[in-house]
Amino acid sequence: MTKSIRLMLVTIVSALLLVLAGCSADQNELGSSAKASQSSTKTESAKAANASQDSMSKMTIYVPLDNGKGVTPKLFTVDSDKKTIAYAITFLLDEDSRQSYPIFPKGTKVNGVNIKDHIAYIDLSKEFLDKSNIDGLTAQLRLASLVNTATEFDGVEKVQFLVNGKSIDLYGGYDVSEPMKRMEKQIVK
Amino acid sequence: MRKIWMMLLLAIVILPFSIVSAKSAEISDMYWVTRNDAPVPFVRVVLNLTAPVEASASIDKSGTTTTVKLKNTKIKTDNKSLDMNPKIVKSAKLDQNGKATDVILKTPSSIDVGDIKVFSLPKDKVNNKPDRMVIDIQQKGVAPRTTYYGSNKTTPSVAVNTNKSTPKPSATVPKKPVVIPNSTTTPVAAKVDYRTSGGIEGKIITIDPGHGGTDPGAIGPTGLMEKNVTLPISMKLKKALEAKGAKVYMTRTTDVDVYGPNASGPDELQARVDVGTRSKSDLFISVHINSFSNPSVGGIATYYYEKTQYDTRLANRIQTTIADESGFGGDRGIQPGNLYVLRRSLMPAVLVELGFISNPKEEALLKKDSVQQDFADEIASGVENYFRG
Repeated sequence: MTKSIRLMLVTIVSALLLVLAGCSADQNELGSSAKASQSSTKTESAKAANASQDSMSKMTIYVPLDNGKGVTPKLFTVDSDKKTIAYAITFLLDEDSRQSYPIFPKGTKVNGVNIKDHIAYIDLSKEFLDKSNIDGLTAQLRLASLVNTATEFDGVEKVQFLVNGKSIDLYGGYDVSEPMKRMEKQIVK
Repeated sequence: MRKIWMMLLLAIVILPFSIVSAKSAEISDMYWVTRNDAPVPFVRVVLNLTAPVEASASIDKSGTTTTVKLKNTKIKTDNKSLDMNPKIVKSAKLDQNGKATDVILKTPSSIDVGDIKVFSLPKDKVNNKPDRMVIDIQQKGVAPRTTYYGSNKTTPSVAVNTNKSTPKPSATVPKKPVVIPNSTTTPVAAKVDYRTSGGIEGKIITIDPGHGGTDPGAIGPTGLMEKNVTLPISMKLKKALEAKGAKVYMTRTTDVDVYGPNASGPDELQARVDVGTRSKSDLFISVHINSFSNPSVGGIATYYYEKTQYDTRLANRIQTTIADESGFGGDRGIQPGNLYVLRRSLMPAVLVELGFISNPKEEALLKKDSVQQDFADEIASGVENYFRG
């Protein structure tokens, strides 16, 4: 009597499913990320148009401090048509990358920002999930700088994070499944 | 008849599949865990792969040697042999057999097809997990339990398929399905009547040693892993609290994942929260070590989430006792944090960050038994103060 199992079929079918699932997931990813950046352009340019009476605007970003003490506000004057959350975060990532010990993973970029019902949906590139160091204070200051920078904009109360168009549930132990409120206690002036 | 049917299916699937199987895969790691969250305990062996592979399995005549063959797969890990649970599966060994790799599993008793389940898990980009092949073998000679860790008395035991791309069981996979609790969608209870005063004696406390198993947590400059520091401190804390008359539950007592290897983040953390809920704990303490990009940053902090009026008080009492531990970078204070285990636990909870593993000086201190003992004693005395009201 030989007890022989043939799992091959099952695995082949499953592998096939994986392949198919993989393809469609990629398509979704691309589709929704493209959609996110399109709508962000729409929303944010509408906003810029409202502010176009003044050619220059003030913008505050919260830079994470590499001494670990918190995030600190920095005020900038920018062209009014550039005052968008996506631009502010790009600015913030750039400031961070020039510190001796940057807090954000190298190469993190903003794919797009969409604002709906007072929530800013911030879509970041996959580098944001670079696993080597999403933990403790690092995760805390990354979230605080992004959330506080975005909620500095009029009408934005909360922030939901996405990576390549997909929402994320957890970030270094932080529950980010629901939109996050401002993290005031991390601000040092 | 059956053979013809199988050939037909093969013919249908073989064409598109050959595109995938053309490139060979590599095994980059192998690890295991004993799972008790099912009617019959089982051992799970997970193989990390660089691409999806085909697998077939066979059991020898004696029933004690099971071979799972992964086609077109090369071994690229030094982890070729595992000593596992002597009661369920004694060992697993990787053996290069031409182009294929054999996974040879030795069991103490004779098993049959109903005891083994082999399935693949796809690459998980969000959680940074590779393609995986999973082998589950259940314990022989034990009766299925109706209540077990992870069981839910209000719903009948049914197989919960937590991963949508796992193949549906066919006639070739076990008749007895393995129950995996889908803890994020089936909460075990809505409320715990926790106590906050009257002294520590008789109070129920859940300790959660941060990370574990496939998740090392943060890693220090000399390679010290957070999971290997949080566990000994937690075990010492258990003793210290028990000496004061408390009853203690642990989310883990060994180097394991609480939910399972490479589980999604929320599943893993919810499994830890569930330990507190099931034990009707009066409070929940999660033990962690901090980390940061700048190695000179150090110090001690306690995190809380203000979901009850007691969370902040608990954080204050504990931070006061741990903040001045000698040699560390000082008091970073109590900090509000939207952390999963704090927010989702149904009783007052804190997460302590006992120094920075990324700071060479603090990393060295964290290796010391005396420092680990100090932290345990200090947390215990903070908890004692809290229950004084």
